[in-house]
Formats: sequence, C-alpha cells, structure tokens
Amino acid sequence: MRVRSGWRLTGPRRRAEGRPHAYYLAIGFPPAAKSCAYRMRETANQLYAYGWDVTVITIRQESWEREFGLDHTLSEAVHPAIRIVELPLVRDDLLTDLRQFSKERSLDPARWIRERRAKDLTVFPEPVFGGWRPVLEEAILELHRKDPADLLVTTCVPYVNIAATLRLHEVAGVPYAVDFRDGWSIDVIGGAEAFPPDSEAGRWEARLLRGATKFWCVNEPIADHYRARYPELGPKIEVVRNGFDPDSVPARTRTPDPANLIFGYLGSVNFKADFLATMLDAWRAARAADPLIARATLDFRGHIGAGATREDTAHVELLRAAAGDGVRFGGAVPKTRVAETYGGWDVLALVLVGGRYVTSGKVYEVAASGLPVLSVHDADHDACTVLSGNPLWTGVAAPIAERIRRAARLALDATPEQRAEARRTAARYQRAAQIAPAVARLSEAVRERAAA
Amino acid sequence: MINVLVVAAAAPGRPAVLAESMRRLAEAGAAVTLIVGDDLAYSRRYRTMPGTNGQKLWWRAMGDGKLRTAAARADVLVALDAVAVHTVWQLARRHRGADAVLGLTPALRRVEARAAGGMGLRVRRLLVRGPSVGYVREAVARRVKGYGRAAARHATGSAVQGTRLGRVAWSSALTSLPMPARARLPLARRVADGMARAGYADQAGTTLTAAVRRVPQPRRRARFLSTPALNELTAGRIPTYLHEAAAAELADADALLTGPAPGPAAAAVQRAAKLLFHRVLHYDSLTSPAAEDPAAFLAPWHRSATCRALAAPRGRTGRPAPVPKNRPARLLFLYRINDNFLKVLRDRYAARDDVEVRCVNVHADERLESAAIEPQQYAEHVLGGAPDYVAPVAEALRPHLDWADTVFVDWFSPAAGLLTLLDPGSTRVVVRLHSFEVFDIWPQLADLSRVDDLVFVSEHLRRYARSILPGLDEPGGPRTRVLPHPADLNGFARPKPPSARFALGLIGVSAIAKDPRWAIDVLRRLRAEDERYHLLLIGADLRGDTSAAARRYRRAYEEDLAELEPVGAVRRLGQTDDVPRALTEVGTVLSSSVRESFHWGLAEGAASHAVPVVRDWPFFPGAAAQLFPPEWVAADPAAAAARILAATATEEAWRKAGAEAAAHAMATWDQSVTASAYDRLFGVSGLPTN
Repeated sequence: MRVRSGWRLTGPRRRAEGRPHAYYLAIGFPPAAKSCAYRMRETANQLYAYGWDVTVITIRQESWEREFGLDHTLSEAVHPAIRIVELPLVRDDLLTDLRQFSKERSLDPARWIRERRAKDLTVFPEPVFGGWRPVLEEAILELHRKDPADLLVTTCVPYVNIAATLRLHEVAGVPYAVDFRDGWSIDVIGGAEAFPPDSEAGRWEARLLRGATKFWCVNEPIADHYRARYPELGPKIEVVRNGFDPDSVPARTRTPDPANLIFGYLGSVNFKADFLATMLDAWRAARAADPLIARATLDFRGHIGAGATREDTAHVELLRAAAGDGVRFGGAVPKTRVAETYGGWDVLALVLVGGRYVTSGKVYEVAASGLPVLSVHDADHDACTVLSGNPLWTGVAAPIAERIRRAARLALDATPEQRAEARRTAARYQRAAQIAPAVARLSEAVRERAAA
Repeated sequence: MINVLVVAAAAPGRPAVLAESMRRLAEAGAAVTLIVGDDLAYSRRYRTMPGTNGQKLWWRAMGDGKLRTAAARADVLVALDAVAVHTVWQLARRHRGADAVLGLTPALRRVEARAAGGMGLRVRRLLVRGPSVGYVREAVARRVKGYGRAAARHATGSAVQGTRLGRVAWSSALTSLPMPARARLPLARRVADGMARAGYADQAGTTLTAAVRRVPQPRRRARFLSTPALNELTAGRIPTYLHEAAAAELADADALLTGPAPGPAAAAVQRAAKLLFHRVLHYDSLTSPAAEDPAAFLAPWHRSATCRALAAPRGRTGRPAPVPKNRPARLLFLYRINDNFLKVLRDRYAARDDVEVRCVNVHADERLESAAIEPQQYAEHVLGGAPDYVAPVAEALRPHLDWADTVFVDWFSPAAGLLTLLDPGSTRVVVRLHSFEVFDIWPQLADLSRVDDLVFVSEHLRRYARSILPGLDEPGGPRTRVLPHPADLNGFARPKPPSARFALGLIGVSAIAKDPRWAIDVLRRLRAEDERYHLLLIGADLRGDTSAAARRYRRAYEEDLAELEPVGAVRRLGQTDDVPRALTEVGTVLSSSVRESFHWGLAEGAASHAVPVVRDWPFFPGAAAQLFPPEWVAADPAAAAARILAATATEEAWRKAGAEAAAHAMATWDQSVTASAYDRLFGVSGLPTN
C-alpha cells in the first residue's frame, strides 16, 4: 500500500494474502494516551486473530501530544501484522505553539474557537471534530480504491467517523459495524436524550444504525436506550463491555502499612472540580475522624487537562492545595506501569461521574486488582453491576468519609482468600473475553451476508 | 540558563499550580520572569480605544521597558491566559529565536527540550535573531497598502479591460496562474466587472466561468456564479454564464445530496430554479433562451441527480376506478387563484344531476397556500426532509381526494404539485397545462406517476412539454391529450357599426409576451395607408413592474402611446367584464403575442365577426398555422398589414371575412362542439342531463 504525502503508514506495506481486508476507523488508537486506546487495540488484535487483514485508520501521532500525550508502550502489544494509516488531522483548538497562531486568533482565542466550532457544525453536527469530515471521507474512499475493504469497523468518538463510514458504505457497499461505546443520542452523564430523532445528529445516527451489520455499546442501559429508540435494530445491538487487560492488574498486592496506607486513583480526570472538592472534603473529614486516615496518603495519577490547560486546571489546583492533607498528584502513568502503580497502593479509589448509563473502563481493572475498592459515584451507577459480589468493595450506601474509613479497614483486614475471591469475581471481564466473541459474531455475519 | 518570560493578563488564579510549575521550571534550569498586566503602565488612551482585551494588553506592553528587555532575553515566551496570547504572539514575531507557547505545561516541555538540546539550540538562538520575515513584510505592507490598492483597482478597471491586450492578459492570468480560490474569485469578479463596463459582457462571462472552473469546491463555484447571475437577471439582463451558474448550483445540490439532511440540497436546487425559470428569461422578454432547444436549456436540470430524485415516481397504491353506476360522478376542480378557464366546465357539470361538483381554490386555504409558496420545502420534503410539510396538505386535500372520482387540476401550478404529494389511490387525476407553466418549476417537481391524464390545449404545447419533462415519455407517466378548451362563444356575435372596420383590437395586453408593440407596428403601417385605422387595447394595461427587462419594454411602449393616443390612433379601454360589447367596436382582432398556447381572446374576436390576424408566434414557429386557418397567420407586421388592408378594403369584404371567421370559430371551438370531449375525459358521457 502506498499512501499519499502527509499520511503516515506503519506496519506491513503489503496486504496479507488470503485474508479478507478490514479497515478499522479508530481515532485514538495507540500510541494515543487515551482511555479508549485499550479497547481499540484489543479490537484490532481480535480482528486480526479472527482472520482479517487489518488496516487501522487514525490521525497523526503528533496530534495526541496536544491532548493527553503519547504512550508508546501501548503500541507494543499491537499485533505487528496490523498496519496503521495516520491521517494529517489535528485538534487545532489544542494548539499551544503561538507561532502557529494567526493574528486573528491571537487577538481573541476564545472567539476563534467559538467560530471554528460553529463552522465545524456546518460540516457535521459535532463540535471540534465536525470539520474533519471531508478529509475522512476522501481518505477512506482513496484507501478503499487502493486496497478494497471487505469490512469497515468504526468506533466513536469522534462521531464524525459516521460520515466517512456511511460514505464508504453508500459509494462502495462495504458492510460496516459500529463500536458506539457510550452511544450518541443518550447523554450518559445526565441520563437524558442527547438530541431528538429528527435533529441533524438524530438523522445521522438513524442512518448509521440502520445500515450497520452490528452495533456495539458498553453496557446494558445504553443498549436498552437504543433498543427502545430503534426497535427494529434489536438483534444488531450487542453489549461489548470494556473489560480489563490482565497485564494491568498487579500480580501481587503489597502488605498494607497502618502507619502509611496509600489510597490511589488512576485515570483521566473527566469529572468536575466540584466533585473532586467533595471527595477531598470527605477525605479531610475522614482524616479528622480516623487516625488511620490521618496517617494515610491519597495519590492521584492520570491525565488532567489538555493543550494549554494540561495539568493547569482547577482540579490540579485543588490537589496541589491539598498537599498538606496527604494528597499528591503525580501526573499520568504509562500503560506498562499501570500494574506496578496499582501494586504500590493499598486501596483503589474509583471516582466516576454519571449514573446508570456509565460503567467506565477503569472499574474492570480496579475490580480485578484484588485491592479494596473505594467507590465515589452515584448509587445507581453501572459500575455497581461490575462490583457487586466483590468482597473488598466499600459499596455506595455510606457517606464518602465513612467509605474511606471502611476501605482502610478492608485494606488492613482483607484475607488472601478475599483478595482471590475479588479477582475471581472480576475474571470474566477480561478484555479479550468481551471483544473476541463480538468480533467472531461480526465476522460470521459479514461472511453470511457475502455468501447470501 | 534558559530564560523564560511568562505574561499573564491578570494575577494567576491558580497559585498552587503556578508555584508547582515555577518549581519544576527552576528544576529544569529555567530563570523565570513573570509579568502581570496589572503591573504594566496604565493608559487612559488605550483603555478607551476600540480593541479586544488582548490588543489592549499589547498596547500597554509595548510601552513597558522591563517587558521589552525580558522579551529580548527570553528563550521561551509564555502566555499564561487567553488575554496574554496576543502580546506573546507579537513578542514572538519580534524575537525569532524564542519559543512561544500558551500554558505552563507546554512551557515546561520547551524548557526541557532546550535543556536537552544543549549547544544546538544555543547556537540557533545566536543565529536566529531579530524579527520574523512576516513581521517585516507586514510592517512594509502597511506603508505600501494604500498605493497597492489603487494600483490593483487601476489594473483591473475598464480602461485596461477596454484593450484587447488587457483582456487577454487578465483572462490568461486568471485561468493559468496558481492561486487560492479566495484570491482568484474576487479578482475574477473585478476583472469581469471591468470587462462588462468596457462593453465586453460576453468576455466577462467567459472569464468568470473559466476562472471558476479552477475552483474545486462545488459550493464555492455555485455561489460565485449564481449570485451575480441572479443580480444580472434582476437587472433585466441575461448573463452569458447563466447555464454555468445553474449547473454549478445543481452540482452543489448533488454534492449535498449525500449529506445527512436534504435541506441544503433543496436550497441549491431552488437557487438553480431561480436562475433557469427566472421571469426575465421567459416572461418579461420577447424571446427566451429556452425557445430554440428547450431540452438543451434544461439539460443541466435533468442531468442532476437531485432533480432526478425529485422527479422519481413515488407510485400509487391503486388504479383509477370507473365512475360507479349507482351514484352521480364526483368531480373535484382544483386550482389556485385563476379559474378563468374553469367557469365553463364548472357550470356545465354543476348543472347536471348525474355529476356532483366540488371546487377547491388552493389560495383560499391557508394550509395549502402556505405549502404552495414554498417550492423549496416541497423539494426538501420529496428528498426526505421537511417532515412537517405534507401533513397540512394532506389534511386539506385528502378528504376531497378520497371523495372524488376525478380531480381536474387547472393549470400545472402548485395545486398540481401539492396534489401529487398524496397517493391518489383509485381517484383519477387530470391536470391541464395551458402555457406559462412550462417555464415554471412546478411541472418539474410534481410526481407525474400520480397524474393519469395531462391535457394540453394545443399540440405545440404538448410537443414543448415533452421536450422538457422526460417523465412524460417514461413508463407510468400520464397519458397526454390535446383538447381544445370548451369556450362559450355564444353571445359574441353582435352587430358592429361600419366604423369598426378600421378598428384593430387586442384582447389582453398585460404581459410582455402579448407584445402590443408588434400590434403598434402593424398599426403604423396601416395608418401610413389610411389614418382611419386605429387600435383598441382591451384588458388590464401592460405590467411593467415585474423586472428591469419589463420596465424597459414598458418605457418603449409608453413612448409609442404618448405619440399615438393624443391623435386617437390608440385607445386603452382597460379591464372590462363585457368583452362581447367591447368587441362590437373591433373590426380586426389581432394576436400579436410571441407565444400562446391558443389565444382565446382571438377566438372570441373571431366569434364576434372580427377579421382574425395572427402573428406566427416566434416562440412556436408554425404552430399558429396548425391551430387556425393558414390565411389568418402573418409572418410579420408587413404581412399582417397587407392582410388587414385586403380584408377591410370594402365594408362588404370585411363583413364577409368576419362572418367566415365567426362560422369557423363556432364550428371548431364553441363548447357545443368541444365539451363532449371533456365528458369522455371525466367518464360521464352518455349519462342523462337535466
């Protein structure tokens, strides 16, 4: 395969003989240091394992440096036979090099971004990414011309991928599956409809789903939303949970030190600063009430902010200002060091927004860690589905400060059997076990369709 | 040591983050200078000058010596907030060796990179000094801008375009030089304006279309051509690039058709329709660019995927059922505003016991009229959007449609379009097309698969319609029939005074297409022989307010009348309800039109015993001679004058020629002869009448 100037191709240049060809439109694919990268990596690997020759389409690595950065250790587990095409698309809104600013943008950066977003919406109903539509459509058609596709698997976000997917399907009749993850027409945080069916986004979504061979989402509540909204799509809709990677789970847990218990949070911070403030207040209250917590440390690790505000947000201010309360912020952790990081902690905090429509990706590895889990989220959160039955879970019934204290006791009192039970309970959520059957069903559906 | 200058518009709001960042910067080897806007010199002048906050901070920063010194020394310039961005951007232009970033973490990355970069970056800093090329160029450009603009205006102006060399040079430059569309298009417009002002309108059009071909984006091409084309039409001129403009809009529509919503595609189609069906082209001029080859004129329309989608048959669930024998036939007359030609049919069937009649005027029903004036929404709906468009139409029409055995729609107007939105089921749909509708969008929008019979009043209109409506010849299209309108010509034959022999009459002069100036030309020729000849204009006066082209014609017409009315050669009788009475004064009835489907006023004149003289309608050459006895038809004003002189040479000859014309009219077009064809059409023939 030869790609045009400005694109970048990694992996084998020639198509693998005898394998049907699947394009995987996955913006956020490794080495992007994004939480979605794990699922994307597994999906690509499973497609290859099932017999597909896989070409991943994503955007230039350099683009991610503006956002959460790159984690090249993520790429190490991508099957070497998978080729990756990087398109020259970037998030202009996250540009921090002022030499690349136009004068107009320098004069009023906020206005420039507002206008850019409004312009994006005229191209596709998604701010920030809508403007990528023409490049994505053109690229996917060109790739198909050079190396025809037998299948396109698309994962959103960004939703603008929908336009390219439909374009290829409508122009060339290529069957496609959509890994919609958190869905689109449902506001997973607020729990309400994000847009009505007759809106522009609604019409795109309906077109997309009607033509899809399979449609995946990450939990049952989201699937139920789609089953209710599009009753005719019933059999196509499948729940494909995120799961965890075994190499992210610590092989051994450390022996807790009552003189310095370590609570840890690892993940992208996508909740509001108020929510973090509530948790920190509870932390302080627990410290005041319990000497065990007063001697403990709360470690925050992960991505906070992007572009110019990377690690310069109200959250970081709250964390830095809480240094005197045993709170530390240590930045992001590379994928290969996730297990090691968990292994250095005694309690894992699971801080999540949303409710019944959110499961999160982190809950699976937290549940499988064999460590006590401190839940800081709503009672009807879908994470509870994953954690129920875990003997080291604090639950969500008590106030947060109480849960913190209970987590500390669990850390000290947990027996090896309880830790093993916790790991066993979560074992079914291994990422490969979630994605492999879905890829198999999709592959068979495509084959049946081709044979029909 | 790496020097870092951090500029903040106001005191940093996150002190803990700032303190930690400063610690990390220092750890990485940076010496940091922080300058906050509040520390800069206050200036009342800048505070009141219009500008963004970013601009105002920069104006103040420019005067601050400490900041200038720190900037000159800095390796990394940092804006801490959005307001400080412009200041750092300006400083970066003056100090090429420094990095310039927004935010503390990006600043730390640059410092780390510089620390790791060692000697190379330090050498670069020494070599790359001073302001950027862009900054210098801009500073120079500010000074020469005034001269440059004047030079550009001169170079593209009419003086240069008036020379062959100028035109060739600019055309060649616009089509061959590489330049972005945003530069090419305005330049092409300026050059074309210059050419047009210099009197080279054709070349202006060619230049525009050639330049626009270099622009890859269909939307940009479309807007660039269609806006000036529409302006030209509004000004009464037909742009040479009309076709290219319409084709560009249709290409844009096709590109938009694959989008998520059909609204933009429908809007582009509407813009193309405004060009192709503009009244200046077809109504307000004596010629039409569609006259010679109508199919070629509308070829871009019919090639367009969007227009094909609009015309695609939507089918129906049933076939027209015969009129049941056990009850009266139910006949619905549907029209919009103009029921002039319906009266005879309505009266005929309303008077019969075996027929029940209903009439619906689209204009009188707000639900229908709202839809009728929105062809764009109609198109959007047909393309799959505007979901609310059809419900009011169905609510208003469905009960009538379900009631009727036959719907007769007079004029192929919005009424026909709206009706075909609905599945007619077993109801028969008949549409009658008269004339002007062929230059309108509605026949192109309507679903012809839901029309059972399309009735024309003359063969040449059927021929014309077939050339512009490909759906007529497709399977599932309507049957086409030519049926003369059943006019009630009784009562027109009234005694004429001898003086009428020298009176020419023209019935209906309100439209430019009636071309009363042709009649005036005939009159002048007659008066050169005999000053007793005069012209009576019957009906509402010429409308000259519809476009600039119409206004031009109207001015010339008024000049004619200003000369002829005072001497009694022309009299405007105005609108009258009693045409037969007005015709008693007319000895020769004229059809001076450039096009007609039939011209009933002429038939009425003939029935009144006036001598008919028909221009060979230039829009449909030869058609008049097929509708009327060939001796009535005159190729030009001279031939018309010769026929009139001969026919009115004596009173006896005049009365004899008039009587022959009246006999022909009554025997050929009167409803007593022609209405039975409508009985058959409606399936009510043979039933008893009261």
